[in-house]
Amino acid sequence: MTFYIQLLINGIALGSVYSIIALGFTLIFSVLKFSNFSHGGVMVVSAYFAYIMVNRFELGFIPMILITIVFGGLLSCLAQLIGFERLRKTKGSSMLFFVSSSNLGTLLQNIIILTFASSYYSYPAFFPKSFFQLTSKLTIAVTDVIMLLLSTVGILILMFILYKTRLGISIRALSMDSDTAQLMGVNVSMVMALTFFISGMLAAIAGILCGMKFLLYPQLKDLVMKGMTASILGGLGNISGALYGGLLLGLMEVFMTNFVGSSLQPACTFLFAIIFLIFRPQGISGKFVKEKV
Amino acid sequence: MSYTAAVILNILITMVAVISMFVLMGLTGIFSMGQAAFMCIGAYVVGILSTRFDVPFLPAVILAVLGGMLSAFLVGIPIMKLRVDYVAMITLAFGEAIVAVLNTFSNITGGAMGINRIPRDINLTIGIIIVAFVIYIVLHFKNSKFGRQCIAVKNDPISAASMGINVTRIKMTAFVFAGGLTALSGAMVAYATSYIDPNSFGSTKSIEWISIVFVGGVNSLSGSVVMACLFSMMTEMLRATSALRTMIQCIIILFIINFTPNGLFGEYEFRDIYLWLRNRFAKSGRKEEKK
Repeated sequence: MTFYIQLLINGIALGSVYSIIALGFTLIFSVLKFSNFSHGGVMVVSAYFAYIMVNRFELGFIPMILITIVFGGLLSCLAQLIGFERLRKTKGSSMLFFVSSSNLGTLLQNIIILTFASSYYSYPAFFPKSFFQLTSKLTIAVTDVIMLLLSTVGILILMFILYKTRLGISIRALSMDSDTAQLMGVNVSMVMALTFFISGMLAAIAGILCGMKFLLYPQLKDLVMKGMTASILGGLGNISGALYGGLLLGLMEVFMTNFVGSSLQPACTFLFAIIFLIFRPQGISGKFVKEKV
Repeated sequence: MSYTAAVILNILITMVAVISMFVLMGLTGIFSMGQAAFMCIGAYVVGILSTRFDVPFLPAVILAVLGGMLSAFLVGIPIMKLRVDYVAMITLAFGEAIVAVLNTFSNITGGAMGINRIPRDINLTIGIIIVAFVIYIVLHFKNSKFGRQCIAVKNDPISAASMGINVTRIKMTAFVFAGGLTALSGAMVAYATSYIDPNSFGSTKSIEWISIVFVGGVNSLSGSVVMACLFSMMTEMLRATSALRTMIQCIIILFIINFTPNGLFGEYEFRDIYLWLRNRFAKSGRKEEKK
């Protein structure tokens, strides 16, 4: 029994990372209606930025996180300016956004490969203890606790911004209909930039978390695919759906790895995703993104 | 095989793969991020058949293409009704699943060691014949009823459906067709390199093909072919630094996407350009006669 509780804890910890990736991903999807693969690039660059901050400038844990979050936001804004602003103004098809974002992601990843080579790095240990002993058999890693805390805080702040502030209202208006929102006096470019800023902040948190949980290497970028899967399982373009989707995916991966082994786990995840989409294509939250004529 | 021949063969293989992606992306607007998985299937079918059962070139290639089409059909059933994002996600997961399966069942597939000693049954002539054949078929596909329906589906699925086009069926046709073509390129890879392993068929490759199609031009087969040629030549020239090469490639693609969203060739084929030039010169000739 304790074994399964342990798996549950690990699954939730992994799932919270996936959720926070999925949140930043979904935020952009709900506004611009395309899958933003450059999110992964922002994640990687922020994670390495945090590494520099810790190793060169010897910052503590909290200041490092704050600076990296701001950096991630700015980077994401820059990416939007380069990759999407012109396309949005000329009303390019969603395919162009796809190609543009995946290339931006690859570009950011390759900048990291060129400057750091594709070897592995790791953050120094931030905390004296590496895990808490809950009972004699049940343990929980400190990084997992931190991850849970950070993602919960991030999600709460995001929810607050989206549902309680003026910016959140304009973001949600934009996600429904950008033309009408503009007519109602919303400064679309500004709100778009701010949305990307928020999504970049989430990407920076996700990058640091992934760097702490796994190691620092350029292929961290590919974790954005997990975020994408999570947000699809949860229901594309739905903020709370991304949360549930991430947790579901994390739990499923941990349990699958336990039952069928880590080598076959991607195949099982694929089967699960296909079966899930056959029976419930609208995702957990149950709202379809409507295509308008 | 000499170095030049190997390089040219490599370019030809990329061409076939990019053409298959053109059928998907350029014509039908299906965003498949795991298209390299079908290449993997084609390569493995050829690898297993030719090393274990001594199947000769032509039947092995045909079986590889059929295998690619069959797997594309199976993957396509649940997802072709859904949005592009779902297709992208499922095809990506399919790519990872294939790699996982090949790595696990090592008694048949050789696992991460891959399969080696595949006979080098391909040479430049055969490669060129295959590419010419593929271009011929795809050009006819594009100009046929199916091709025009594909373009309609890509531009606006809803209005295409209201015109009486069965959107799901058209997408499925294109997906299966492209799966077969990609498997063909995989078969060429197996014969050309004589060694295959599962880890060289990742999503990076698929994304690169998609980008090449977009740079070439959304509806232009000529654009895709020319760009596939240029980009794989660039790969060869900058072989020493692959990261730098990828960066240059990404920057070029970003520029083109931003400033000429229709790609370099737009919707024109070589034939259109030739006709335009001929008309142009014919007209100017007539004007001079009048004077």
